[in-house]
Amino acid sequence: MPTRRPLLLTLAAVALPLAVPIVWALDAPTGRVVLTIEFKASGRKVDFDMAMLEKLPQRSLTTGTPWYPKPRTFTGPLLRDVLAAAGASGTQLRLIALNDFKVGMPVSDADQYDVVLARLLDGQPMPVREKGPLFVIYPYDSNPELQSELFFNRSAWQLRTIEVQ
Amino acid sequence: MNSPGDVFAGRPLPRPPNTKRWIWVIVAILMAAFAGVGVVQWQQLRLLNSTVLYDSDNIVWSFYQVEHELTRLQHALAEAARDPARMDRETVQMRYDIFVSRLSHIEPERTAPYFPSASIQTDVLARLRAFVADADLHLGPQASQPLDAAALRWLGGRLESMRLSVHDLALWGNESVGAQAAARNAAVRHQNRIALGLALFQALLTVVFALIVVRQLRALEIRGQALEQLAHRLHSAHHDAEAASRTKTAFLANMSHELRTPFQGVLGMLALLREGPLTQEQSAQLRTATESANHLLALLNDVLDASTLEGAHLRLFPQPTSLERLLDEVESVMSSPAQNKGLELKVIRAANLPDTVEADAKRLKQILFNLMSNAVKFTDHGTVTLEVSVGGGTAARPLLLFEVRDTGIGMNRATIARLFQRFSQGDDSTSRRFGGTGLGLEISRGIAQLMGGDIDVVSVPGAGSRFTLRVALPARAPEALPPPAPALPLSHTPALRVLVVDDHPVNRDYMQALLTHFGHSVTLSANGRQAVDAVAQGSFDVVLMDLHMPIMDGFDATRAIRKLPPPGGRVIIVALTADAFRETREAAKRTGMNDFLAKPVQPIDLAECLARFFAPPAPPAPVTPDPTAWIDPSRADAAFSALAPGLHAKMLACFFDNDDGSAAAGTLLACLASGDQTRAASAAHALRGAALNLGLIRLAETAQTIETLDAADFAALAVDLYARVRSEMSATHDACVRAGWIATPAPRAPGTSAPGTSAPP
Repeated sequence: MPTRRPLLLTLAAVALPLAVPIVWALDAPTGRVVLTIEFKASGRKVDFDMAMLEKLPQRSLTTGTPWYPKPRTFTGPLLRDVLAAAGASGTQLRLIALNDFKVGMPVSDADQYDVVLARLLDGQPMPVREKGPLFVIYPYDSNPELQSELFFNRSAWQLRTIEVQ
Repeated sequence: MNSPGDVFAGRPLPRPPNTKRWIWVIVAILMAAFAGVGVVQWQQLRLLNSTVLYDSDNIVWSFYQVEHELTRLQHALAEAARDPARMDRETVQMRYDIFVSRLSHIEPERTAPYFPSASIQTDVLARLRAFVADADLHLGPQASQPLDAAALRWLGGRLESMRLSVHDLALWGNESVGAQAAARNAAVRHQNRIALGLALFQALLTVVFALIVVRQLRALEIRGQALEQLAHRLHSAHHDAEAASRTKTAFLANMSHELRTPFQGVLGMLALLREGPLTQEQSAQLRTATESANHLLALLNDVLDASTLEGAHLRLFPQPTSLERLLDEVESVMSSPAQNKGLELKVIRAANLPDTVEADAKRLKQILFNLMSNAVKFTDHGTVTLEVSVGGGTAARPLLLFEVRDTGIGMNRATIARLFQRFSQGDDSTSRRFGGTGLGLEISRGIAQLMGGDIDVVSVPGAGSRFTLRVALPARAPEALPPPAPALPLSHTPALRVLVVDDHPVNRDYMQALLTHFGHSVTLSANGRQAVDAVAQGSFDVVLMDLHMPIMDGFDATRAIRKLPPPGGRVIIVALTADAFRETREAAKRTGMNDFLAKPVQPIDLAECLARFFAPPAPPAPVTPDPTAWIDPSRADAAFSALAPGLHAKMLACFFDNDDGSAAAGTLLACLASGDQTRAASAAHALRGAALNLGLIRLAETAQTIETLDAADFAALAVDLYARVRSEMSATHDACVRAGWIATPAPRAPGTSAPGTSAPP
């Protein structure tokens, strides 16, 4: 029935903002796992490879940072989309980097700011030795309140794991 | 009384401190202090920002991370080397990449903003980079050599050899950051101290500022008080000065007043002396004495006018006045002196002049006489013009402009500026040349201002002057004019018994001479007490009572007389006094006096006063006919129609016959010739009465003009009036002949003798 699909899509579009959280139908990772989202309460783990992250809607953000002398362009999915894809519901996140750096972040940050889980720097993948493969980037330039130690600290690079509490 | 100098002789006024400059200095210092505080705070903010950046990067953490990751890589390599065949290649690769990623964080360009670089940093970094360059052959993105056991051991050994250096580098970084933090803290403390100092300085300045403001306010307050005291002193000094001035003015008024009384006596006596038989030489001496006395009296009158004006005692008595008649009179009086100097006299009347205005005619004439006499006096040839016009105002109250123009010597600016000032004349040379009191213009202007008007002047030296009297006078209907005063021949009053009461012997003698001359019998008293006794004992028709006398004054005497039984208590009492104030007049009436005569007593006034009580009232005179006619038959008819026919002609003949020395015209001419004003006025009055009855209106008019002249004008005009009366007598006679009233074609002109050489026989 050719007419039913657009109707359903319309309904879905209307209902979309109301559906919390949106659970994306996730494929199993086929490549190397680059991100793991762990749910403390259930012990469930969701793994992402780079291809899965690429499939999510991408966002490019050009901003100045403390780590580079000039503004750079970061590209990747929004953190909140990643969390939604993993079906995450919680209030507090714990970001863990490859070098065992750990830092807390409220989920509200992801909702409130367009926090990008950057996987490309100026369009190029980031190797580990250049703070890759994943880098949490806030839109510092467009929100002056983000230009503080608190948010710079939450901007974990070489991100490997997100714990949801 | 304080002299004006005393006012300023006290403590000098406190000068306000010169604080304006100080306030600016303080404002500048305050601005500088604020700027300093701003700079310090800006620097503190910068320091704080650099601290935040320092924290954000956490340089020390970066150094230890490098050491930590070196150790972890070392372990990973050692683990792998234990069994190279089964090593976790991925873990080793990750540890290596993380280690490499850490190196960029301790490069000098990263740490430079926080502390200076040192050789240990560059040396260790160079060794680490060299290690990475070698390790990349096995573990780099483009690895070309296998990661075998030998490579693992070699790399581990290289790391081990650098471990202590990297540890030292971490310690060095820690030390440098600590030193930098200490320096920063010291700087902050220093800045804080500066800020504190500046704040204290600001507080101090604010206190100083407040003190200056308080001081300034107090100085202002003291100055205000001093000014108030000064104003008070000035006020009282001014008050004193005014009081002194008033006293002087009053003294002047009193003196001229007091002088007038004996002077009147002198004049009266001179007049009486002339009645007696005199030699020609005595007659000339007498005339000179009379002229001098008249002149002196005119001066006294001026001084009195000026002082009464100043003391605000001068009052106007406005009443309906015919403007036309007033101007005629001015013209007729002034024409003679003008002709005498060969000047043309023009009186121009605007067509829209009101017929009748309410004005004090005597004072208005006084102003015009003064202005025109001056014009004549200061003009040697040309024209003197009086132009009267309406210069605005309302129909009910037109603004009249009396413009007196001459073609005389004119005045410069400085002279005009002094013109209306007391005792000032054009300049010393004109004063010597033209004489006068210098009060005339001041009096004229004073009167003009009293009338609500003013006098202004425009003049060009050598081209003449223009004086303009501007005064708004209420217009009146012509019916409001009082009828012309009835002619009262003096002989109509019967012989009376008169008691004269005056403490001044001269006045008594003068009054006695005058009354005797009129045919009355006179008794004299020196004070009120004597007068009351005289009235109680004798019987009098009239008492002439001076008001101010020793022992008993006129008021008390009048009250005492009024308490006497009739007929003494009902005697007519006429007050005589030198002060012509309305208050005195009213007080006299209240006391029970019947009438009032102002000193100096003019014979005509005395005669009229007596006639009011003792002569039957004359019928009102008809309206004045065309003034250009010499004679008015209607008037003559009114007087003579009831009488015997031919009486008019007989009386006219008698009028023009000069043989009778008592004939009014002859007496008048003689008086004009001798300059005796008193008698001239009396003769003019008699002439006027007779002329009016006979219908000789032009002569009557001239006689009235002479009668109303004041002493100064009389002295100035007597010679001209002599000629005028003679010519008018002649012209009137001709008119009578033409009218057929008299037949004689050639009468002998009266007063054929030249002025100054004749006396009545």
